[in-house]
Amino acid sequence: MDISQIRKLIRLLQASDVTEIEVTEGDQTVRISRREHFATVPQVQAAVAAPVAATPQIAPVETPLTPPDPVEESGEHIVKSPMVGTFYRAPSPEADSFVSEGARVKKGDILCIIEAMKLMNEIEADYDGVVEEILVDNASPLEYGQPMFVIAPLA
Amino acid sequence: MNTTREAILEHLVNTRAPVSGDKLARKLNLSRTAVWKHIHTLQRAGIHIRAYKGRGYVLESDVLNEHFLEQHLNTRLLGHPCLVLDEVDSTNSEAMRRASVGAEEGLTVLANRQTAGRGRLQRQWHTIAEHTLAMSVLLRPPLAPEKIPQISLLTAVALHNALSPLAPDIRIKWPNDILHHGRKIAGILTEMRAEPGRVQAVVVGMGINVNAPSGGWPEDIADIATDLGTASGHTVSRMDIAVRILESMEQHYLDYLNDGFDPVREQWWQAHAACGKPVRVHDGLRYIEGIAEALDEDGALLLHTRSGTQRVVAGDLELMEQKPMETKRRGTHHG
Repeated sequence: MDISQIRKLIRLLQASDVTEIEVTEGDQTVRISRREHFATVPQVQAAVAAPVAATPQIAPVETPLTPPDPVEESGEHIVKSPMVGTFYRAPSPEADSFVSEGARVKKGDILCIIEAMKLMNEIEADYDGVVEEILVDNASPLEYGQPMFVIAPLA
Repeated sequence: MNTTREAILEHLVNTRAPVSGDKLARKLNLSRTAVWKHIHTLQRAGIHIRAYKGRGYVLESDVLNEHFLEQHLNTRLLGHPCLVLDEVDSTNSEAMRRASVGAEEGLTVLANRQTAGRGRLQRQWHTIAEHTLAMSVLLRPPLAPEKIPQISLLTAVALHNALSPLAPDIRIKWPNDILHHGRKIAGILTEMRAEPGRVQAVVVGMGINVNAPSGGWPEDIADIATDLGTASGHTVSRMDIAVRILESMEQHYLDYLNDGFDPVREQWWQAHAACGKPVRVHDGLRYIEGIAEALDEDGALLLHTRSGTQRVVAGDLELMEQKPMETKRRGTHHG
């Protein structure tokens, strides 16, 4: 089961008053449960505070509802900025975005451009996948290592 | 181009003195009639070759020739090889395409015409054959990706130092526009392909306005552009400019790899048009106004604003002291 399917399940859970879903597909089982108290999971609590801050897009809303996703925690499926710069979703202000949420990308497709001192760095997808989330607004500043995209790999 | 005609051009491009048909025939092992026919073909292709009766031929066009360039360049990296194209979408794109199939550091792509010459955020860049120099250099620096923006500023210093002997009063406008009396004479666009921690390719593209076209620069840039011919008071050749710039660029690049960014930063600040002056920068969302205070260690501009010091890493900078020129956005602001 890939991360996009898991995210769908999380959204399903969120939109309902169900507290737990368990899905078995082949030999894989995923259980997602809603918790009343976060006290036992301090690292999740830290993430809960983030959505209240000025940049809610950085912390996925579904985080509080599920134990930390091991894949996401290790950063494997997050595309991070290799440098300080400005983030552009399109090649020019008039042009269409390179990618949008839900889009399928192939390895080598351009995801965004980062500019610093008129150096343009085109960031390409490292693998085939689906753009789960875009975590940065167009023309906004990026720090070194800042997460920009969540891209779920296609099996 | 036909190799014989290229060889004829190479002989002519090397000298301002007339070269006789006899001499060309002997050097190239051709009959005089064959030489004459080739010259005629070149003339029909729009290359100005004047025939002086009894003395020989003089090349009057400012022809870019890759063999001539490679021979005259006093460099060990840049311009080896040189690739001169009559027409290309963009020299930067061509250099990046060649980088992706393994071209080595130093490859230099020049073109007489660019069909999609571009500046920052895809703004149009005019490349007019014989009047502009469009040149891109491939570098593969052994540096981390986050250092590479420094090369963007280093290129400005290299251009400033290469062109200043021709036209004093050349200044840099952050990060790397080259200005003469406030008008743009050259623009630089740097592009990078990298993976985390490792640079694959850096392409530094330079567009230089060499001599004004007889009817002047296109209307959309006439108010904001100038050229080396106008700034220096005499006609300059693209070949000469290309050699000067590549030699300067190589020197600065090698020094930078050895000594780091500090010496570049110092020279850059000396040449900056707006040291301690009021400026405003449009960062894509809004204007930031302040006094240009310093260049940060990574090349960011430090602005002293009412709310403290602000770092600017991307945007269009305008000097505020003179009456700000009417901001023309689309396709007009070079670079």
